[in-house]
Amino acid sequence: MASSVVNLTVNGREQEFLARPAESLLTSLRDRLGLMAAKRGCAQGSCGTCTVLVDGRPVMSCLVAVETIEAAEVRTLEGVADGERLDEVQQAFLDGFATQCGFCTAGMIMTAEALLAENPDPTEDEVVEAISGNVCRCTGYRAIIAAILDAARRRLDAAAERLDAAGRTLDAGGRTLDATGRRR
Amino acid sequence: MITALRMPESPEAAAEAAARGGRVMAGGTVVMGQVNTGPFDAAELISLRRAGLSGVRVGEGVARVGAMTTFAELAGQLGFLTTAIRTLASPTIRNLATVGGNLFVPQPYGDFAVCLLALDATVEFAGGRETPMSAWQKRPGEIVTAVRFAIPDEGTWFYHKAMRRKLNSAAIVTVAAVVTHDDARIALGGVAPEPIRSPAAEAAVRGRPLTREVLDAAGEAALADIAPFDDAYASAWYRRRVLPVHLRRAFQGESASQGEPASQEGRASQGEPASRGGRASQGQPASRGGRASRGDGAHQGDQRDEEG
Repeated sequence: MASSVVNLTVNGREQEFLARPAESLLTSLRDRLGLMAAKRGCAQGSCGTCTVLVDGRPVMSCLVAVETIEAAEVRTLEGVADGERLDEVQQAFLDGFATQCGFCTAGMIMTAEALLAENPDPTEDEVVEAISGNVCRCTGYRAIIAAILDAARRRLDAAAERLDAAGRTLDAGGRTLDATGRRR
Repeated sequence: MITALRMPESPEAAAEAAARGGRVMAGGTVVMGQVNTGPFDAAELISLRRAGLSGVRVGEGVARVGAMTTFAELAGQLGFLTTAIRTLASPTIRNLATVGGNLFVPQPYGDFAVCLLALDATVEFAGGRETPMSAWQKRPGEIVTAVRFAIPDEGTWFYHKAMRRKLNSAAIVTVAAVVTHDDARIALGGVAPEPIRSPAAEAAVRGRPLTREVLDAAGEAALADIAPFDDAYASAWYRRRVLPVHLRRAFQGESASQGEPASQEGRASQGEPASRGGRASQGQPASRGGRASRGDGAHQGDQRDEEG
């Protein structure tokens, strides 16, 4: 059983590593690259705590054979904060007590990131549908849904403020934002 | 123990690899779970990801959907299927799960296969062979390359899935149907080891107005065609008990009054079947489909709490 070389861009950094045949992206992230945010929950796609973004789309990393996504761009929770500064979704989860045991949180946040990137101003129903593949076994859904809606509001407000102040859309780091407040 | 994962670059190469005994994997949402939790019954895994089988082509009223097209890709391309696609697992699974793979998942999963049966789809295989869904006897090692079906006329497509939750749950009963003024194809999921057509229900509605009486008779007739099973979602007894109700709801929605024909307008207001034109014109993927189409799934977050 020959391992093979896999190349991925993970959180903006190029990574090259060996993977066993049919090794899951989750195993590669945790055991090869030391990225422990995505959790190993059910290992069959039922719980969603291993959710990461592959080429921008949220998927359950336990269901992806890593060899099949050679050269893909992967984003995990480790790639969300800007240094020590949490992003809006993380901050909203913290402020809204949207974690209980915390085991689902990494997957919830990555699913929320994908939702807000595609739909910056979702309805509650749209949030519920987006996270319908992510199980919170503490059943803390109300706070999670509220935090995601709060994060959307924070991003929209921040984008509006920056527009007012400078007449153009830059974030604090000077990066250009699109109309929805996302970094380009 | 898996010793190799192969990624053939054509369906023919995939068929050759499968003939040597490898296990075929499409989106991986079922197979990878088995790989992860073992034991796994094959030494080689054959991923179809590079076999060139994704994409949707629509022309002259016929849709051809490549086997490796994901449900996220399919959503929004064929508006009449939006409601059905939104009942399949979760958006994160739909980013991986494929149309071809759905044909091979065990009941009570595989709701899209129920749709394809109602659509009288043709299944295409590597090597050029094809067969109608209704006559398909699965053979080991065959590679599905695409499914093909006529897009039903507006107002003739019906779909309803009864679940334990409003989102992301397997079928208790799934009903998909194409009913025109003189023909009827009614397919059922969740009530037999494989998705089935119900000839008895079809005979009961064929050429008749879709009134409460006709639909109730069709629901009772369908019981002759089913072989339901017990699982964690529902008992065989329960599935049999509720099938007639859900068969009627596929056509009339939950609030239709007794004896009233399923008028075009009535259907549209249920937010469920048949509003092909309206949805297609939104041109949006299902995950952000118009809020108007939410009538069928006014789901609450805490609804999920009842799962445990």
